Amino acid sequence: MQNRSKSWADIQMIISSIAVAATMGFWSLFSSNQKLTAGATGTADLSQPDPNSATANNDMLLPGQVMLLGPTPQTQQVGAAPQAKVWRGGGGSKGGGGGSAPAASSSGGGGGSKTGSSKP
Amino acid sequence: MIYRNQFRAMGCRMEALVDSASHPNILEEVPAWFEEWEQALSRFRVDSELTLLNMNAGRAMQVSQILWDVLQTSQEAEKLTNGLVNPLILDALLYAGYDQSFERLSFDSPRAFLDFAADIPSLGDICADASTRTICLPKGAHLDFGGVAKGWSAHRAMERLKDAGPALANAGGDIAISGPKLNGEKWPIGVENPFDSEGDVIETLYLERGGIATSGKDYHRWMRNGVPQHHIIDPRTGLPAETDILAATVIAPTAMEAEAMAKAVVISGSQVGLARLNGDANLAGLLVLENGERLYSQNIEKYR
Repeated sequence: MQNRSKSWADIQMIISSIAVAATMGFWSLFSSNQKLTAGATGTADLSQPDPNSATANNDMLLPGQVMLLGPTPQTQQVGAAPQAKVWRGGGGSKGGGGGSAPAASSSGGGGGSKTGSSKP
Repeated sequence: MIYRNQFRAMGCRMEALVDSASHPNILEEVPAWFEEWEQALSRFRVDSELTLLNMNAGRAMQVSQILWDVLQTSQEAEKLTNGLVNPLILDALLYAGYDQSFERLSFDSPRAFLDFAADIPSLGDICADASTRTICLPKGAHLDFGGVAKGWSAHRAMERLKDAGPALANAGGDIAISGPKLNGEKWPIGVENPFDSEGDVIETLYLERGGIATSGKDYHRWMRNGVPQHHIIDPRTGLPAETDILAATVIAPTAMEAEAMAKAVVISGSQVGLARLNGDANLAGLLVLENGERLYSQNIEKYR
């Protein structure tokens, strides 16, 4: 009788050990998964030097949702600032689209512009 | 000699021209001006002043002189157009699917189209205190300055440039001109063909001073679940305007007025729009209809 109860206690001990070991194992497994995910996110964030990528995310937001994300880093907006290119213009109305235009004097009838529906 | 600076801002092509005997250094400052204005006025920037104001709808907020001035311009545009130009249409634009800069807008976004019966408030519903430059938007209302901001920017840039010589500022097709060129000639302005994506010119108009702008549904078009959409919202319905006009070019005393009237004419349709232009000696215009037909206002001959 005594032996029987002793062996039942042993079995209980073994089951408890297995349960504790399994719990610890799963804990460790999921914990390391979270760390991996966080690490990957951190890498992705750092590899976004393109200022437009921040804008692309922001563009999808509705008013009221934006507060959840917080402000865009100031440096990204500075990076988006257009670069000035000044050159002698003129040559009629073929402006728009970048690149230099042929030089023209104001008496040459050039120096015009174009109007359209806000084409990018 | 005419000096020109071209650059991109507000999602569009910009350019500034000055007629001067020597190189005007101020031309190099123009992109920075637009950057500052865009940071205050863009709804596409999460940290712009306008975004902050929209997030705080229902609460009073002190704003910059830039935002304050553009709001005043919007109110003048609303009066000029009997309410057809109303920047409180942001929610309607979002429902129509214009939820990001057009350069990034997909042709047929998977977001479900929502039937939207708008109850768009008037700008008169905005509480504004000039002494403290404080604005309080009606709760649930949001601003999108859109074309108003471009017209205002063109005008403001021209005002700053004109001391260096006769100047022209073009903000995405909204053009402000300070006066005739040094030789007394007018500035030639090409009107782009709305049926041609290459920017072919269908008409050249000649302006001494004032503003000229084009508004149209030719470029900013997209599909929502098979339903064609465009960005010109009729505030009376809250939906993209149903109109027979593809694009309207309007000449007015200022770029702001030209931009506002061009949009109002598109929303009104050719019959009402042309009558409006013919009824005002300060206005002239060219309408290109969906069927390709071109209509000219009576005063346009002065500019051809």
